[in-house]
Amino acid sequence: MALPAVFIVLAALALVTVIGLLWQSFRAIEGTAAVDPVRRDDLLSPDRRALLERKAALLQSLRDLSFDHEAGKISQEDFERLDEQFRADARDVLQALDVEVAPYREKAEALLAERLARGPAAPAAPPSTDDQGAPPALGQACAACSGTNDPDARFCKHCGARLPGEAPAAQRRADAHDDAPVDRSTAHVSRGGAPSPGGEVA
Amino acid sequence: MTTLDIPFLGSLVLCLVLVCASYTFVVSVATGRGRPHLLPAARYGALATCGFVAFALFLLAYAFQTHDFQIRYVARYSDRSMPWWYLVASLWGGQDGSLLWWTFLLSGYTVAVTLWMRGRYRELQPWMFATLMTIFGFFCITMLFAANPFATTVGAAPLDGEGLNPLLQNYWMAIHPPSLYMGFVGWSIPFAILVGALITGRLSREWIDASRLWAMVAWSFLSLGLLLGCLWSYEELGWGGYWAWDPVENASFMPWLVGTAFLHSILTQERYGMMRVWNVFLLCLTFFMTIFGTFLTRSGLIASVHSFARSDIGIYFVWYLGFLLIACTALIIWRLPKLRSRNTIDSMLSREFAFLLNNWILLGMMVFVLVATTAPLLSDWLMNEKVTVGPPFYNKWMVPLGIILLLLMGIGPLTSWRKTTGRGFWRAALVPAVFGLVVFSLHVAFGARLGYPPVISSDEIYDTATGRALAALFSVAPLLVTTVGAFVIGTVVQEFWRGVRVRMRSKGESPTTALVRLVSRAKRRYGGYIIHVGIVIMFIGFAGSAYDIEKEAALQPGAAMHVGDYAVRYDGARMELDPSKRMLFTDMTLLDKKGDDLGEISPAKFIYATHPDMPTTEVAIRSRLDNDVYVIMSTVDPSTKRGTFRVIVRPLVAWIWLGGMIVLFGCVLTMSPSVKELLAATKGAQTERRMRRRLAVALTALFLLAFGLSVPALVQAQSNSSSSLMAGTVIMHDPLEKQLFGRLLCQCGDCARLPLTECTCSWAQREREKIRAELAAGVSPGAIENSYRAQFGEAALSVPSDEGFGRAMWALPVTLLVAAGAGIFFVGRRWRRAGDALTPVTPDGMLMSDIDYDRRLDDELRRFEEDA
Repeated sequence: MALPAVFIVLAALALVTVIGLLWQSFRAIEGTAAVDPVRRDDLLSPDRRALLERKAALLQSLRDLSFDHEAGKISQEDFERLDEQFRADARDVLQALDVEVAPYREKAEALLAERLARGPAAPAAPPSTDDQGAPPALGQACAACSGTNDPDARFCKHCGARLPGEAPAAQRRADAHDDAPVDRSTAHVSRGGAPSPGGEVA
Repeated sequence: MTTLDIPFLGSLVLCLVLVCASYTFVVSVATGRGRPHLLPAARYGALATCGFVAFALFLLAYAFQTHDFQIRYVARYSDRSMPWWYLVASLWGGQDGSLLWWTFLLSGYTVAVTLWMRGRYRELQPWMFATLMTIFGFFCITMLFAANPFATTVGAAPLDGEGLNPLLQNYWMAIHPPSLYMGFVGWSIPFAILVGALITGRLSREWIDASRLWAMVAWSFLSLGLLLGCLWSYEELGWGGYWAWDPVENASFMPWLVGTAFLHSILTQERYGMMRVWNVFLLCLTFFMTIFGTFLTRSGLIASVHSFARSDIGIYFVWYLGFLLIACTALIIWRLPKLRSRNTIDSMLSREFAFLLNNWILLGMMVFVLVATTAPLLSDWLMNEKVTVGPPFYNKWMVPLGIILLLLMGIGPLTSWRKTTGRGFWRAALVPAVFGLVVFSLHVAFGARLGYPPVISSDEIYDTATGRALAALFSVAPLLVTTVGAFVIGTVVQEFWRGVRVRMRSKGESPTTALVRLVSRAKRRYGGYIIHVGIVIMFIGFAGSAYDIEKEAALQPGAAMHVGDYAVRYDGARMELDPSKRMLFTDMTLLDKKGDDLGEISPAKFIYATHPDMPTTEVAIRSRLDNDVYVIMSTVDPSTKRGTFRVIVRPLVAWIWLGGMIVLFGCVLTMSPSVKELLAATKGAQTERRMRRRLAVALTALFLLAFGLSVPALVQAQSNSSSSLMAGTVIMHDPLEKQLFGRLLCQCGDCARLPLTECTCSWAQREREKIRAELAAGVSPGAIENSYRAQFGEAALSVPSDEGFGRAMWALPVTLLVAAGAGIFFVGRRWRRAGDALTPVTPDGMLMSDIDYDRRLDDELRRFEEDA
């Protein structure tokens, strides 16, 4: 009968898998294994997450309410009262969400204004296909190797030399990043690799 | 031939599981404590632990297949004549192996949840792994030190094993325990996620989103396991019932009750963030109950028909339970500040409050079962006397609670979130209530004529006012069940109908399209309603037991007996042989009132070569929707062929299985991914991978459930070949006798204190003869019961008397229930006042920005609608 053989083969397979998994585990401790991509959700601060959850729940409630009303399950009077209550709550939540991002919105608007103020030359520039995504017109050239860099770069990305660039602007950006609504315990998830594009916080 | 030293290797692997689990625990804790880059290491470690467990299980399976009787467990639970599938089933046939099996299932769940989560919930994951590893560690330690399935026999290996108990040698053994274990073990996953949430303090909706699916999977398997347990008991054990309130059954029923409460209560938290502490408590309690139930039945502290050998694993469970209790309490108290929530409700006539009441009754039932199940322990401890509580106690007390639950099932869906005005509620309740009344009057008018009288006679379990009140309630129970059941079904049908009508009107869809889209857009809601319908149908099946007709007779070949609307003709006996057993069949023909042939049935006795002293009773069942004819052959004289038979006509039993299937269908519906989710698989590789994983999980669950669903069909096909617990059969002459004997427990000292209706020992036989003589002499059953008690003590009765400890048995749960009910109303009123204090926003007071936000809200709603 071949059945005992089946079980011994299964056992052997389990053993091989275990060895492979342990190997992977040790590699991960060493830091040589691939690291999971960071998801945007993981970087949300608990407060913001709670607000978003609440918003989803309220939207769900509003939808169910209007459905129940259409279905004739609740009276017009109940519907109006509940609808207004849910809406008031939802408005509060939306407002709270706005308040939280207000400083960043201001910064973004300032940056936009700054960019627009540079005149029509910039918007008229053809969209760059450069994988760095920065329009060359705005870049600053490195004095040492003459490579192009981002406008706010402080060091050349080609040769590492210090750039004369706009330190104040760069400082501002760094501050903005520090204040971002990020749960700090997860902000430095990756040691073994760079965070994926998906992990960037808006 | 074999050079593998399986016992040594097996024990070594168990040690390695422990080592690997410890390693993973350490890495997980490190991950949780600020080294998030170690998460993959923890994950691989957890998977490796599971791999080791699988390795150990396959080794044991190999040992069974190769008849390695050097291993004690293999020698005790198998022999050379057993076919391979029983050799596989033997893996969970005994104590030691079932612990390994438990660990194996936990591995399966761990692998599934790891793949399912992958990069999500990464804050919770490390602590989830750490918690799961402590559970692995606990089972490993218990196996290594107290119940090692790889332990060797003392002395030389026997030539042949003892063989699996013939009662377990049937097809049920292969599916009932695994399913029940799946239900028990499954609760570990939501519990581990919860511990993660408690430790990290991320106590918003996140952990509920993460654990909901797993709680539902566990609940579904627990329900399936309970249902299969009923089927097994009914088809195989040959005593004519499906639920005996045995401690093992209760042990699985209690987590089911708490788990059901949890699944309802989380809905309130999802919507309003309320009742956070309560939900955490419920989930902890559910997990605790799964372990506590295992402890109760495995430690040998409470006698049960599911007699797992008494062993010393009890103390390990006590330690673990103590650890769980302290750890959970400490975690909850520590996180209490973060668990506080805005507790206001607008009205007591709201969905929130209905869920609160649902929790109240479910937990009340749980407390009842708990107190009665642990009565032997409590009474032993308090009064040095083991009081046992038998089925009559439960049957009487659970009926009122069950009917309240049924009523709440009808009221709940009629309420809406936050507040329903009284007028609105009554308008919604109108159609279902009318439907209920129609069924009520139909039952009253035609019930008796169809054989289902609305009022039945009921015995009193106590000779007091309580006993009379219970009996009165019990006697109208069938009518209450049909009326309230109709009301519940009315509400559900109304919900479906209204939903479909809206879609037909607003979207112009055909009725079928509207129904499909309606359900697929709110699967949890409508799946839940379908589960409710299933439960109602099961209740009707339970109520059918009130109409049982039972008769016993000794027949010569050719003679017939009449039971209810049927006649059973005994045609003759025959003996058949197969390698492992002798089979004695008695062929009978079932006839209806007019004498028409309804088919052949063959109840039998099987005598296994390994256990010649335990002939098993094979019942024959003819199952129809209106009633089952259940035939048990008690004895047959080999020379004269004269046989004694017990025939039970059991109305509506099939409804229980039908209702169970509807419940499982509802479960599948609730958990299944929607078409949209499946189609979303095309949206990029990342999503696609995730979707494929979800699909895999869903399909596995579906497959397992479908497997479970196909079972009843298979049963029909083989209902003539089954086995039984009852080695002999006791003959009851009339219902009065049956009621009385059911309350008196055998005192022979050998059996697990079976009631006199069941015990077959000579002591019970003598006692029955004595009591029959007294009954014939006109002594009242109450007097006989009292003298029995005076002679053998309180512990000799299956229903404790209504005084002293016996009264506390019901008074304690009832007091708790009433107090909790009052507490809920009190708290509800306070919350409502807190809600009233908040000033309502009126449209007139709206600011410009509010109008702005309103517009944005409408946009969001539109998008939300499209996404759904």
